[in-house]
Amino acid sequence: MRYIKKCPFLILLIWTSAIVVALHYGGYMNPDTDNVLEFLRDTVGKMQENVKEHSGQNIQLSEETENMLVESEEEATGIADAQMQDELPQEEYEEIVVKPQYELRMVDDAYFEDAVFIGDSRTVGLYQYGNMTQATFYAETGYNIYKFFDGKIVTVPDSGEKITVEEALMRNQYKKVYLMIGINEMGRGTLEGFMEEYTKVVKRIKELQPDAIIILEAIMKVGKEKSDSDDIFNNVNITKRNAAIAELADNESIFYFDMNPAVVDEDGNLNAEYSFDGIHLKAQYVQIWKDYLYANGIVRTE
Amino acid sequence: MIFNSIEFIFYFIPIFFSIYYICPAKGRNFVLLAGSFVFYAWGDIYSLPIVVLSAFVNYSFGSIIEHRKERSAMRKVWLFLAVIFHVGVFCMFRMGNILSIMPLGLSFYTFQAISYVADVYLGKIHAEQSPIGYFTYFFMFPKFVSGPITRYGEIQTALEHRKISPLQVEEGLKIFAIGLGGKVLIADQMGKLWNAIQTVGFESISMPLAWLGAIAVSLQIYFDFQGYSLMAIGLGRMLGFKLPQNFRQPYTSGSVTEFWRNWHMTLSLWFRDYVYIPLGGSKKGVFRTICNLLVVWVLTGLWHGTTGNFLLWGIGFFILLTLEKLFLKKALDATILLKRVYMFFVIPISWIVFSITDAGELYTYLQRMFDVTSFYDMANLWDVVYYLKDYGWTALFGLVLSTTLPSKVYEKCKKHFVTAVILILLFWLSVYYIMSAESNPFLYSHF
Repeated sequence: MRYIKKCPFLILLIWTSAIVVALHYGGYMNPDTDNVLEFLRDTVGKMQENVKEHSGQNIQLSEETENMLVESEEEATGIADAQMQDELPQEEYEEIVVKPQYELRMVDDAYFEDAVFIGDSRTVGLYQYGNMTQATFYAETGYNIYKFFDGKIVTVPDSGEKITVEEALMRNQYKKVYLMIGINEMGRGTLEGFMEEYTKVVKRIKELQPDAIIILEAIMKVGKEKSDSDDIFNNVNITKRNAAIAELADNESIFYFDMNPAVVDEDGNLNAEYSFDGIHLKAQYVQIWKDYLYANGIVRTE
Repeated sequence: MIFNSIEFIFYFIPIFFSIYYICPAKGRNFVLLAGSFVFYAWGDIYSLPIVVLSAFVNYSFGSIIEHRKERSAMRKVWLFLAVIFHVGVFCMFRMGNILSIMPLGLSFYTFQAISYVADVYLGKIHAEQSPIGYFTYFFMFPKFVSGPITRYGEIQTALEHRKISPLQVEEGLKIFAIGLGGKVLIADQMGKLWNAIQTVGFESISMPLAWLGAIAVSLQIYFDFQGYSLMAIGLGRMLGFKLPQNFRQPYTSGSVTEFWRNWHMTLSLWFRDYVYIPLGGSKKGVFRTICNLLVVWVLTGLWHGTTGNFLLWGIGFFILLTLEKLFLKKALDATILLKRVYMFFVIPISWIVFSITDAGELYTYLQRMFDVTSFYDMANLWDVVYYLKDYGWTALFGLVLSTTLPSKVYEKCKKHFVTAVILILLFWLSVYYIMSAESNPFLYSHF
């Protein structure tokens, strides 16, 4: 007992270490998030679940869960229909091909007044430095496709309420929905798993925004240094991912748009001059992306 | 191996210290030496041979100089050779960009080695008889990689005989935890902020953001280095050694002169004792003093780095120190306000010069720091608001913790139980951040 008085830190350290190690090997602790509070909630949640199981309660499938299972089966068939459309040969830089009732042309500021940009930190860069105040941006650093349904990243202007992008698309109607996403997810899961979720999201956007065209932007490439030194976040993998995304385009209401030609060097890597970290465009070069968007507006001809 | 890693905290420390404490006092130096080898090899095994060579050369030279007590001319030659050897190796690795494989800890062990032979030559200490003893001092893992630059005389007694009580271990652990917290929770966060600003591109930041960035690097460098020094001191305490302090609230200083008496003290003391004073110090007239200062500061700059900005950094301090010596310090000491304003500009600007190696980029950044036109278009200032949201609190904590407040509070409360609880929480929070960054690097794929 007198050791507690003499060496409280040491005693506490040994005691807490024992607990942490036990929890860690019990599988309760997985730093899945960089938010400490979320992590603690998760851990406590897992412990509670375990306690319930051990006290002999059977976990019945709730009605909700059963309905969800039925829904996802329906979705699976729905996706097959969407993919029946013509697919063009997959080159590295997918040419933007439009069907007769649409054309590609130079547009002005007004074009983006009813446009929304959804994405991760690269889109945040476009928001911060693209000076496209007429457009709407639903973007956040670290954003990934799984957060579409439950990540509350959109702030409602007057009330300050935080809602998910799905909810935001329920409340607001747009004519153009731009989506650039996919790099953050490369660190976990598989391409197939990602495409499954991505397809789900695109379908959902189509449901929520019937009057809009959906523009699936290719994931922006990374710089040579990054690409050469990283097993996961490199341009070979990005190209694969982009090819899969391109397959979703039907060129009637869903288009594939690759801005990479504007920002890469002759080897197909993000131009080293345009970026400090090889991942994000420097503020002054965001203009290049913006110019490319303005030069390639998808406009209905009828 | 770095101190702020899971493998060091949860594998090395428990295993090494268990063996160390169980071992009888006679064998402890050997255990420490073995542990230090493992520690070093883990980080940089290829350099181990050349470092061992340096240690052996130094030990030998020390013995030779010691034994040539009477023939003073020869002693000087041996000292000279030893210094040439160490400086030569140092320059070879530092300047030779082809050999980007610089041994871990080169800058620090080189200086410690030179201090050893110099002290033996001057008769301040007796050369260490046993090679194990000397090698233990040389390789001692707490101080090997980043200091504090410890003179042999400071730990000589402890090398031969040291007592380790639970209270000492407690004290050491607490200091380690504080250092770890400083590094992980403040320094690394400020590092992220600085990285974010670099990503934007200096040409595009507003004036307030430029200053926030300068504050960020100032806090990052301080908490990184101070954090590491505290971890070293804490570990040293756990081993039974009292390693010297490196920092004494340097950001509360009122002049550059005072600043360098409180920043990286082991380094400035080294330059004073082994370069400045041997050159004559301030005892040979004003002109010689200024020359001596110039030599010291050019070397200080180059010790930190080989690109032009480090030289500029060193010379900048030389100019300010000279001005202070001549008349400026008296003027500063007169008013507190003047001191604070002066240091408010000197510290961040000096760290910006220190941190940006490209001349063009540096010029751009300094321009941004003084571009008052930013304020004319308020719309530009959103960028600093954006970063303050994520990093404002950490920066504020950093600034508060740079004052004399924390050490005063700590001295008063360190025996309390509550302090231990707070430190434990701090410790686990730091571990959490390390874990989430390490175990899931993709989590930190925060693009």
